[in-house]
Amino acid sequence: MKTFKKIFCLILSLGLVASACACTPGNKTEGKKGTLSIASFEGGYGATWAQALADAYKVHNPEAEVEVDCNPLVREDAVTAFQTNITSVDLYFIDGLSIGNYCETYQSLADISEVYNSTPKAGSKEEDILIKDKIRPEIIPEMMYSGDQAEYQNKYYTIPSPSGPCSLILNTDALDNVFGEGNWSEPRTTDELFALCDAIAEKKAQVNIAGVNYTIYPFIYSGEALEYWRYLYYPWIAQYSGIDAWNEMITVKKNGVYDQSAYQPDGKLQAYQKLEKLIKRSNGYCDGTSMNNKFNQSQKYFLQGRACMYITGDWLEREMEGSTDYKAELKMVKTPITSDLSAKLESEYGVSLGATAAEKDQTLANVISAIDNGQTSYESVSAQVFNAVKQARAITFTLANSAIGAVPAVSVNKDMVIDFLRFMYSDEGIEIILRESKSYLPVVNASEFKAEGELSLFRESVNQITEREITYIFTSSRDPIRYRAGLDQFIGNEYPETALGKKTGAITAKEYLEKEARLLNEKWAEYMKVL
Amino acid sequence: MSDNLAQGIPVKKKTLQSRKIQRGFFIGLMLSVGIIQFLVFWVYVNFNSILMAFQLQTREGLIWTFENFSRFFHELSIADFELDLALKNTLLLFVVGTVIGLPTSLLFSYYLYKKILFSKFFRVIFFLPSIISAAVLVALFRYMLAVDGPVNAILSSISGKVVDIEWITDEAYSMGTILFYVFWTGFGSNIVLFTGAIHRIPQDVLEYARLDGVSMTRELLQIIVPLIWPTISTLLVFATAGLFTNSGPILLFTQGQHKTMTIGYFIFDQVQNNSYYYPAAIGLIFTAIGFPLVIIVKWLLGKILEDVEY
Repeated sequence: MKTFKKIFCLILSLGLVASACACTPGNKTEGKKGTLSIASFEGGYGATWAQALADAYKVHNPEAEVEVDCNPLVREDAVTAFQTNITSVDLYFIDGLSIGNYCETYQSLADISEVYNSTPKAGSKEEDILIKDKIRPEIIPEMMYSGDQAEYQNKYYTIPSPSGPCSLILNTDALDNVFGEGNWSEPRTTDELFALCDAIAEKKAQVNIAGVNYTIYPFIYSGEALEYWRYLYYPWIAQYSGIDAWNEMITVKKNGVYDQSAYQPDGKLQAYQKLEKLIKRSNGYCDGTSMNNKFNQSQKYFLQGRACMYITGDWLEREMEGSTDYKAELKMVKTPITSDLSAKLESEYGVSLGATAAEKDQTLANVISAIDNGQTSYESVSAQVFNAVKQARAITFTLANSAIGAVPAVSVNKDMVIDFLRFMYSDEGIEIILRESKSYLPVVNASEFKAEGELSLFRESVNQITEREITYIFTSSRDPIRYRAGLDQFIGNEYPETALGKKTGAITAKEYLEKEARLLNEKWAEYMKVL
Repeated sequence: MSDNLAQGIPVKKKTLQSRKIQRGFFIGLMLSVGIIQFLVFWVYVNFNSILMAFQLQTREGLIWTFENFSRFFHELSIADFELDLALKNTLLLFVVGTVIGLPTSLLFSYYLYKKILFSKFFRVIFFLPSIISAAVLVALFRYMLAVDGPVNAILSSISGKVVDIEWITDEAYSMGTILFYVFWTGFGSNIVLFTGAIHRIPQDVLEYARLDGVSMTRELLQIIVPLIWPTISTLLVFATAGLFTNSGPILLFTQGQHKTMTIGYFIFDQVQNNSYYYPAAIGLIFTAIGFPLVIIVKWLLGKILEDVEY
């Protein structure tokens, strides 16, 4: 019996020791001076770019110790680290971080302004441009604190990690299958997009996959990743309303003052109506299994050719590399311009773009083609109209503002982090990231970098988009009304993509926006109390 | 001869005392782990949650306020916000999982106990959800109920028409599907407890009843139920205590879309979005409602039938 008790106690003790160890899961509570610890979220851009960057950094700095942990749970780990100020990690690469919240509530972000005021450096080779000038200007403010606490203002707390454009992607194999090789054209306006959808739906073409015939639909999407639709209809809002109105919508401010009307710019209704038209069940533009699909399932179906178009970001090809045997020819195209823009331009500039809606849209499409071909004017439209269309054409959605690197305030290796980030933003670092993640850091000179080897059609098309004149737009939680008051991108429990696209009880775009306005009005006083 | 004996010191007494100290130290050490864990993860967390319910992060920093409580009642009154729907769904989960699920589990436990035809087959069917992890089970369930999945295929072949019901993403079916899932997966653990309790009933009691010609219905309702009443009442008290915090399998199925929001998931979703003060207040409100409710249910259950010892 005594022996049994001893064994029992021993087992119990071992259990206790094991559970105590479990309280510090591979996370030492503080970092080791001289060893740079990097944790990188493993998502669509793969798991290798951070390690490859660290390896190259070590070649230039043989004395440096760098550890990289890349896994899909880094995001959760980072949240805990930034909320507790306990971590051994010196640099987190994650997507989505509220600078305002972590500064004000947890004081857990290190000020990395020094990086921005430094030059990129690879070994002894130093570039003659400041990092803040190398990053795209529209992304720069997103990396700074923008709340109302003076001690954090004008300081940088995050730095962009690789992330490119998000837009409409065509499966050219599927389109060839429907129309015959090359007998189709890329949609430049939303009217052309709907015409293409109608033509695909009308053809009722089929694709045979593993012995089963499937109807080819214009679109497929995933109920699990409804937010991908936003990469299409957010630019429509910005194209119609303009970048200033878009930014006002994000901060819910007009002339620097919180204003409910800023939340619903005039282009929002038109954009939602177009979304409604695309996802409304009775229109038959989307594969009927879409809402049920997991995101990787719908991507696989898209690659199989069960749909001609899909909305997502430039990570698609990298993400699907090992997931499917189907290697379709994919092409990312710039977001078609909302056809409503022609009427707006007519009233704004007192011009006529055509006698009928079809003529107006044709003029708009012609102007877009001229812009894409690098022309500086178009014969039948004024310079003002041409420039307005050019501005609209440049608008592209990205997640580059939320795919970031952040340094915990408790990091014991800030100097090493700064040095590493300087290397990351060197031309060599950008090339390594391009090779491994197949995406760019959001730098102004992205077009100067070429990936090694033969490029896929998809990669070429993404590069073409980034090489052209583009203006990135994004959603943002920088303003206190977002991170402190809790105003989300949508108010209420139902996303617009669900409300407009559901099988039973779908509502119209107008009804959704009316509901949104009512909810905002009801909650406005609550938001204002904490601002 | 040892020094102690030479000095006349009572060696045995001291050894006993030292053993007592060692034993006390060992017990204290063992208990300390549990006590520390209780203090940190229960007392501190709950106490902090109560404090957080009265806090709000503003421009001036953290302030003490009742704002979170008034916000909840305000949002509850906004029809478009659908918090009333979340409350309704939460109550539906309770009704299906407990009010309907518990008696049904009892019936099936009795059926398994009586070893009636196919009972072994159904034992596997009912226990299966308890053995398989929830994530795997949901994945299987989703596959079965996919638009082009086996259930719709079977329905199509039976009806001769194309059946493409979206069981999970069509709001006409989604909550019903989730309720069915809760009902089905709730069986396993309840049946284990009920069959265990029934097997503990002395066989001679049931044999006497059989000799007296008692029917199966009477045996179940007038003999078994009173004898296993402590198990039934414990399960009912637990279910009542978790009434408002039970989010159901919403995270794995719909993330609150398609009219499936529950109060439990709403709180979870808020916390996921780094909002802590408001969900703490909601938790406190439902604790204030749930605590007396549990006391009342416990009191009522004690009144219905007295505990029987055997």
